[in-house]
Amino acid sequence: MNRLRLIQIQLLVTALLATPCVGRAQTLYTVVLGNQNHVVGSSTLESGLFVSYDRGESWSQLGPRNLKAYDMDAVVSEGGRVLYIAAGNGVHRSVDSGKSWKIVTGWEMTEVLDIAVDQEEPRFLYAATPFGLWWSQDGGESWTKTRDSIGTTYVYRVEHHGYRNERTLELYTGRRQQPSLRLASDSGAVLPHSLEEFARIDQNDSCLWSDAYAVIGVNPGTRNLQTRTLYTDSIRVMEQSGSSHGNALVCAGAFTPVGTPLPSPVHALIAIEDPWPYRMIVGTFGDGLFSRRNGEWVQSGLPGAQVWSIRSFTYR
Amino acid sequence: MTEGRIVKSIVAVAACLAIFVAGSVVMSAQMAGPSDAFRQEALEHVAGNDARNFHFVAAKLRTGRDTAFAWRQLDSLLDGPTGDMFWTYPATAFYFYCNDLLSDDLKDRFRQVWKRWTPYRGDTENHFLMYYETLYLMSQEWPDLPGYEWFNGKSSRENFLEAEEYLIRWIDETVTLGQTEWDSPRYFYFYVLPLLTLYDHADDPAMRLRAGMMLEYLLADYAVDYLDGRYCGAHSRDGDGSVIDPLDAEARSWSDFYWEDSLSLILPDLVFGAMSKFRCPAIIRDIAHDRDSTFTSYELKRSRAKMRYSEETYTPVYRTTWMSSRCAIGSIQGGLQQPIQQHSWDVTFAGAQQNRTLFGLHPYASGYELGMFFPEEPELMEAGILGSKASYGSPDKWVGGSPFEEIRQHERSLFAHYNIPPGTRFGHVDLFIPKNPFTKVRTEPGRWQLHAIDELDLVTAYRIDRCDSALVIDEGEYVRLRLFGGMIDYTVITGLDAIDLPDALSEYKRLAREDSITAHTTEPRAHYLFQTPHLRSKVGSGVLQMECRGARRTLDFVRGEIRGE
Repeated sequence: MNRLRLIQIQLLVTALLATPCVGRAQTLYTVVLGNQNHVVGSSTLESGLFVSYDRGESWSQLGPRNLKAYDMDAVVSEGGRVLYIAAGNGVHRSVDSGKSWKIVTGWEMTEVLDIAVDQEEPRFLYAATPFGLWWSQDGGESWTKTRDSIGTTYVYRVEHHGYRNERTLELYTGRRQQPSLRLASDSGAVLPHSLEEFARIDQNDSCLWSDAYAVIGVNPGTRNLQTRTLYTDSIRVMEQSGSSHGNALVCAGAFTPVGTPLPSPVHALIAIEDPWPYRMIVGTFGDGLFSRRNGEWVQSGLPGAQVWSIRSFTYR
Repeated sequence: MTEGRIVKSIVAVAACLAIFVAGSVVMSAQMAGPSDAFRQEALEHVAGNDARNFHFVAAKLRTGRDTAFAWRQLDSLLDGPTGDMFWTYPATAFYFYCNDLLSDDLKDRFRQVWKRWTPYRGDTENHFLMYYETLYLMSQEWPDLPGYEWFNGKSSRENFLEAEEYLIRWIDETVTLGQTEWDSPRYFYFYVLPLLTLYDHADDPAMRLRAGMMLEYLLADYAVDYLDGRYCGAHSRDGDGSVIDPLDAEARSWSDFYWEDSLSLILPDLVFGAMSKFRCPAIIRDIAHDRDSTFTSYELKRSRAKMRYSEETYTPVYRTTWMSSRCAIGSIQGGLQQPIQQHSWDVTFAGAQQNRTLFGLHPYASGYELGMFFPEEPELMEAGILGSKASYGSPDKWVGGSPFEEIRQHERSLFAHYNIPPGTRFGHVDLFIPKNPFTKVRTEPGRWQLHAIDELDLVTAYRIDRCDSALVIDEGEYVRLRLFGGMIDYTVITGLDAIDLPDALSEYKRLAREDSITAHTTEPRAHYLFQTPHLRSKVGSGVLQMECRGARRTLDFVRGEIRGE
């Protein structure tokens, strides 16, 4: 329990070649699962999708209230108009910046833990569920799942990356300490047919996954930040003390706690770089959002919330 | 749904429904009560209650009692929906059963709720039934509406087809592969009204027929395990109250209503049961009461969907129940088949008093169990639930399964084994032994304990075969026998006459020896969903045959027929 209550920000002194994933004029989204006392059928605090346009200073709710929600994604090229929520009762889609929503999945899909948009071709979507991976080729109007092992494996998270001519789909299966999987395509969209097509991603250092649900990689020199995901196609070389390692990420050494323990476990973490030095917003599971003020963690929004994820988008 | 998917759904569903519509329906010659007079009595009784819910409003309006107050309550209910599907299913029932009483304005208020308020779909079998039953009927009621008129953004057509598809698939899977939320004294209650409402108000005759057949199916499943108001044996989900007093179970409200002409336990849904056209077939009532001879039932169920730690999403659950006129002993094979509320075995006794049951469990609680059935991170759930002092993490709880529990049963003899690793939460096994029904207790050499219920002329015996130590805790109306040790074994035998004790002891020893061999060497019965003197259904057949005292009734879900003699 103590271990869970400590937030350990993994500060990795690595050279990241990725462009910053957070930038100016960013829109933040927080996805709230519920509250600690929620029981299906009882009244509950508002949950679901929340949005901030002022770097987390204030939040407003988008979409259905009382929604057991896990994650979200947006079509970047649509400037925030097209949004998806991964929720317990399926995938919700909005095409008007969150003013109205539609559940685009049916009775077969339940407990959708994550949703990923192929930003190169946004009609391709991927949904992670405890009962397998689903994907759509028409913006969510219809969904496919194979009978193969990919259709029955617990998929916790799905990430899609496009880099030059290659697109990569990554699955995090089982518990977060389990190996994750990657399938790459150099000819367009990734349409997986079986789990066996995926290559295992080696995690060379268990310390990266020991206590944290989210990780920040920081390069103080370039001020590049990479949050939430450690493996992207845009990372080609990572240097630590002069050595380079392909796509593997090497633990930098001992990690130090940042600030005093938070009242609830940390489930989401994001860094806002504007203005620099970056500011962290932490999503806790049961006490909402916290940010650093004068060296202390301060409750900064959605009190009581079980925050599942925080996402950031920079819309052009 | 896209148009293409809609078309596919229409074709698939139409094929199923065509079979149903074309099939002939031969009704059983005899239907049981409750009588019209008894139904009216039930309505009058409920109308006297002032609780704020759709049920009591309906009762008042139908009996013409306190109607002004009832209308005000209805107004309040529609102003503030809350409770997800637990609000929508009685609201839907009210809308349809009292539709002739509603003004156009009130009907529109119901419409607006379904437009503006989002009920969650839930995560259990009963949740999904409630959700899709209400969606089916309300989209039937308001057809041709576009997506922006519904809380979920789907059109009336999309909602109707999705709900229809789910309901048909749920019924088909249950009657061919087995139920996942099976034999629950608590949640059985919540299956009845959604099926009644479909039976009475679906426009589609095939859906009405299916709903009625499904209700009979569930009632029959309950009937074979029924004894003197109690739902006997192992349960997928049991309540904290009903596990120690089976008369406290919500299911009894319906069994009293359909089989006993009794209102001893009136729960709200009965109001609509009283208004319904559904009549329980006499054969099911007779199955519930046919205890002239002892018999053993074998049932095949399924676990709740497993997300982790299992090669199969649904694992088989082998349920055995030995039944007599005085008591029943029933069990499953153990292991984790349901989260939190599993009840793996018990002995249940007939009689009017409370707490007529004896059972045991390993009070297990861990992130492993939670992670098996719920999607969140196991360690997160464990920290949250166990840290909140909820009963799940209590060493004294009386519900829950365990991965370290293994049970074997042969007829009236049950053998429980526990192999609990060091460091497990918790390291003991508890037996619940009520004081009340037992008027004599004998301790015999060899650790046999004999408990006699004089009024039943019945002796139940148990023997602790292995443990490191034991603690007897007097908890007022019952005794908690706490067994400690890494390996714990015990034997329970029931149904024996209260014969002379020396003879009884030798009889128990013989049974323990012989039945143990049979129990541990017999393969589980994996080919029948029901293999009992009263019910028979082969896995995959979609057909349930009922038989009792010369009467027969067959529910054929494949051909869409009810056949009876």
